[in-house]
Amino acid sequence: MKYLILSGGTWAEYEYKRLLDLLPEREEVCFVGRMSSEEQSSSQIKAITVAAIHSLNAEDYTMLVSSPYWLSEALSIQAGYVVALLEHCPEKENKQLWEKYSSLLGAMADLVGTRSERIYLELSLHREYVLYLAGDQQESYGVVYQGDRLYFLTDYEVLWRKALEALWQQLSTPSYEWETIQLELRADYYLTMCVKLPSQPVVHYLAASYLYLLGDRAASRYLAHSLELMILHDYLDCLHSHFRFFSAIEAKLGNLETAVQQYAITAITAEEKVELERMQRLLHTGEDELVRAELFRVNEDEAAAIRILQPLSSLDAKALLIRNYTRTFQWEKALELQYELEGAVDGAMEGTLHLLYGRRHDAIRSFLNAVGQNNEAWPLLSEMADLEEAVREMKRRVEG
Amino acid sequence: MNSHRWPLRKSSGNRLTAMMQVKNESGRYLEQVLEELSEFVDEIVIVDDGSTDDTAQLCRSFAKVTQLVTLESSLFNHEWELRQTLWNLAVSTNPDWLLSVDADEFYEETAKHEIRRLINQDVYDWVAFRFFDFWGGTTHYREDEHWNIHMKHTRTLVRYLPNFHYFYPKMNHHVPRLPLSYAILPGFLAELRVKHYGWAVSPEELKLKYSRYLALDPEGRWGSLEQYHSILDEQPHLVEWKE
Repeated sequence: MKYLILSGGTWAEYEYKRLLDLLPEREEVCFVGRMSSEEQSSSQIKAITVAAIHSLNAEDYTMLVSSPYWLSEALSIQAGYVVALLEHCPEKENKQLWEKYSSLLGAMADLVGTRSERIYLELSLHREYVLYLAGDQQESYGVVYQGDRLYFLTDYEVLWRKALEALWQQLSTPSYEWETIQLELRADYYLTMCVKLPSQPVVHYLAASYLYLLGDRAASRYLAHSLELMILHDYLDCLHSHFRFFSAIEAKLGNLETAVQQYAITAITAEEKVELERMQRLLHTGEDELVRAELFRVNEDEAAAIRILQPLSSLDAKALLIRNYTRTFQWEKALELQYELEGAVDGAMEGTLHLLYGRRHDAIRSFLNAVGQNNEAWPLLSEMADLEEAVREMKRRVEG
Repeated sequence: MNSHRWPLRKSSGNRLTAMMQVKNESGRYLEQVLEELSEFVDEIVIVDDGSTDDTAQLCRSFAKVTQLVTLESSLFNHEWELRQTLWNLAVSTNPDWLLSVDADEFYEETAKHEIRRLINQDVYDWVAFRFFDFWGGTTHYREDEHWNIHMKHTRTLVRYLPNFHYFYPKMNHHVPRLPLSYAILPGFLAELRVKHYGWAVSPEELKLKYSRYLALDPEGRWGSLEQYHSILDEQPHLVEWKE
C-alpha cells in the first residue's frame, strides 16, 4: 500500500512518525514537504513538493492528512482513502476556522484518528470509524517486524494497523471490530479508575459514556453516580450535561416514554420545549424510530440518529436526517437531501463546499445568495479570505 | 403509580401534598401545624419515627392525613434512611407538588395565600422560603452570627417529576429535608417567611436541647460547636416579629 502524508508543518515537527513506521503493508510513503536526504534514508520516506502531488496516481494512495487546511487539496486529489488525523487548534491558528475545517475534514475522511480523547468521544458520537491514537495501557499488545526492525505495539498501535487494514476491506467485509475493542479498552480503564477515584465525577461520567457507546445498561449506574458527585461537589450546572444523558441511555434500551419524559425535565428553553412537543407528537402517533432518532440528536449522538434515519424514506425522517448531517458537517449529503425536499439549499453550506472544490466564483455567488436568507455573506466572504491565507501560510511552512 | 405524566409541568390544577416526619410531638406544636396545613394543602403524608406517645393518634385525627407510617424502631441515627422512607411514602401518592414541613414550622399568612400561585406555573420546579428561628417564645426571632438562617433561602416546596434522579447524601445527621438533586433544576427564591418554633422554648428546655446536641455530636462533626455553645447565650440578639 502506498501512503501520502500531508502534514501541517515540516518533517521535524511531524508528530506521527512512529505511526508511519507501523503502517501495514507499507510500500511507498511520500511526505509532502522538505526532508534532508538523511531523513529520507533513515525513515524510508520520500519527500515530494506540493506541486508534485498532482502527478501521483492518487487512487493508489492512502492519504494521511493532519491539517484541515489541506482539505481543498485532499478533495481534488481523490486519493484511494483519506485518513484525517485531527488535533486541537494550535495556539497560533484561528480557532473558529481551524475547528470548522477540521470538522469538515473529519466528516469527509474514511477514517479519523486523534490523540485527543475529547475529539475522539465527540467524533464517536458523530460518525463511524474513529480511532483514539493514545492510551493508558502500559503493557505491550503485540509485536510487528517492519523490515528488520521489531516493534512492541501499544493497544492503539495494534488498532491503528487493524483500522487501516479494515479500511481497505470495508467494501467487501464491513468490520467494526477494532472500534468495539477500543471502546471496551477505554471502558475498562475508566471502570478501574472509578474504583481508584470513587469521588471523581468526571471519571464516572467517562465510564458511563463508554458503556453507553457499547450499549451496556450499566451506563445508567455510572451516570447516576457521576451526577450525585457533581451535586455533592456543588457543580450544579449539570441538568443538560448529565441528567439529559439518561434519556439517551433509556432510548438505547428502547424505553421511549421514560426517555422523552427525562428529556422533558431538561426542556427549559422555548426551543427545547418545541423539540419536546415534536417528540411527544411523534410518540403519540407511534413513530418510535423518529422519537429515538430525535432523542439521540438532542443528546448530540448524531451517529446513532443517522443510523436510524438513513434507511427510512418518509419526509419527516429525511428532514431530521438533514439536521443530523448538517450538525456533523456531512454537508454534501445534507444539501443533496435539502434539494430533494425543498428544491433549494443552504447558501452558506453550499458556498463552503464550492470553495473547497476550488469553485471560487460559485462560492461567492452562494455566499451572496445567503445574504437574502440570513445576512451572513460578509462573515463568510471574510472567512473565505482567512482560509485562503491559512492555506498559503501552511504551504509556506511545509515547504520550508 | 403512573410514572409517565403529561404535561410534566402543569400550570393549573396542581395538587399539593405536605410531607412530615414526627416523633413524640404530643403537647408541642404538631396539632397547630396540622390545623394550619389542613387549610392550604390537599393531602398530608407522615412518617412517625417510633413515637411512644399519642402522636400517631393525633395525626390520624386530621382528615387530610392520608398516609401515616409508624416505624417500629427509630431511624433517628440514620437520618438519610428516615428522609428516604418519607420521600418514598410521599411519592407513592403520585403528587404534583410536595411541601416538606417540620412539626414546629408555620407558613406566614401571605405564604399560605400565595402557595397556589407558586405551584400553578410551568417555569420552575422548586421554591425556597426564608426561615426564622424564634427564640424563647413566639414573638421574637434570633439574629446573630450563629443564628441567621433567614438570611438565606431554604428549599421546602418542590415539584414531583417522575423519572428524575432523586438522591439524599448517605449521612446519619444533617441530611437535607428534600433530595439534593433538586439543586440542578430551575427554582424560585420567594421572599415569603416561615416561622420555626423549634427554639421557641423555655431556658430549661434550651439547656436540655444543648445537652442533647453535644451528646450527639461532641466533636462538631455534623454541625458547628460554636453554634451549639451559643444556644446557652444569656443575652441573644432578638428581633421582634412583625406580620
